[in-house]
Amino acid sequence: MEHEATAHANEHPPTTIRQYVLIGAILTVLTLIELWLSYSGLPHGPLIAALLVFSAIKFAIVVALFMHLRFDNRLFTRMFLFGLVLAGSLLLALLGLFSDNHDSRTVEAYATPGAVAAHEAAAEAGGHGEGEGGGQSGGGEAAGGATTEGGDGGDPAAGMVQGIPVAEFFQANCAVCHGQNREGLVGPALTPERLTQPDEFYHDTILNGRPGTAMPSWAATKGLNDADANALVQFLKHVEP
Amino acid sequence: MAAAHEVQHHTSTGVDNRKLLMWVFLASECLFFGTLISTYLIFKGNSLVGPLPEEILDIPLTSLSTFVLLMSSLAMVLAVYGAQHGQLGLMKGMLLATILLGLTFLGFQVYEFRTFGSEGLNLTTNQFGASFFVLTGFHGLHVGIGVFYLTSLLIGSMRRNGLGRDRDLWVDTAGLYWHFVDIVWIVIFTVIYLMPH
Repeated sequence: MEHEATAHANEHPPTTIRQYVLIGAILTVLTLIELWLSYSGLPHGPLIAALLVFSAIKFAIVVALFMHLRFDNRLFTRMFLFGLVLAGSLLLALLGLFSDNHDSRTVEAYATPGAVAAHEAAAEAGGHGEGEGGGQSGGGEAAGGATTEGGDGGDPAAGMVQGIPVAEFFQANCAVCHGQNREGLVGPALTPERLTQPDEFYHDTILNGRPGTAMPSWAATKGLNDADANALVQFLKHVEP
Repeated sequence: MAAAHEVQHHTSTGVDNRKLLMWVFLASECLFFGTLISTYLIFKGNSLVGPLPEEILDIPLTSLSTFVLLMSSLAMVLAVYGAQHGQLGLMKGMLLATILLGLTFLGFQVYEFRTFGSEGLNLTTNQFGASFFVLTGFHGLHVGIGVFYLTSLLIGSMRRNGLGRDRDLWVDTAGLYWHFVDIVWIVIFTVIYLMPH
């Protein structure tokens, strides 16, 4: 404590120019190792851990030596660590709260009981084969016939959704959010060049919705089945607006 | 003048208040960038439409701009060394080098943003675009402010009295800011560019 009280503002860190240049070189080498690691094809877990360690080492070197906290008054270190630890805790807390935002939430977590029942009925209909889905069974069959799983068996523009041509279904149900020309409004644009994910992703999005967005589950709200979703995906990915 | 000089050595904390202010500010900046990085990580993998990070991020080019920013930190620390040891030529030369390297980094960022824009990624395209541009944009803003900060010091150092009695304090404090902007980039580069998508 005595040392702190008498710390002089003009005390200089003992580092020489040579040492500063050496530190710069070490930081460069550490960055190159990180870069090499990111291309090394390590499994994700160890790769992320290794990158975080290297990044933390670089961070510590710059703060301790370039910002010379190591040689400076302890008060600065405490002040900075306070902000850093608080920020780190905030990051962990936010990730803990929201990291399950990806795909683990189900329709049941959001929808009303009635919608859930409809969703389950639709899922059941899908499980027992097309034609058992009640009111929309005829459409389901038609769509199933028009679009095959492979996607190259039928004309994507000629698909049917619940007995309605796919383009008409889009205008009646999807265009309000995604735009009449699929240019995007509330929802994202849905043009072939924008839809770069695999078919299954959009298939799942249409049937189950996207938690945390305005995209509803169309299985729950309209009773779409697998074949309907398939027809829509083929249409969106292969037919220009 | 002598009285003013005395004051800075008699604070209740035993350290210069101006330098303490910078450290408190940097501590608050940790929280600022911490929330932006958290947001990026939470949004990660949630984009419904492309362009997605793995399709659009140019890692070799960004590694180069990362190297440029790292070298600017080295130049900055040498400018502080010059200020502390009375080597004014070294100080001015290295301040100029830091400014030029900072501008080069910004040039890389402008190029990157324009390229992304022409490939259809902007602030409203998807969650990746929104969180990416806000995070790296605010970092770029900090680099820009740093360039103005250092330029004002460089101009000040060319006056007849130079930066005056507190020269090493002014340059040291500016150096703290500049290095902080560098360490934020160390984290951003790892989190956005190097981590698997």
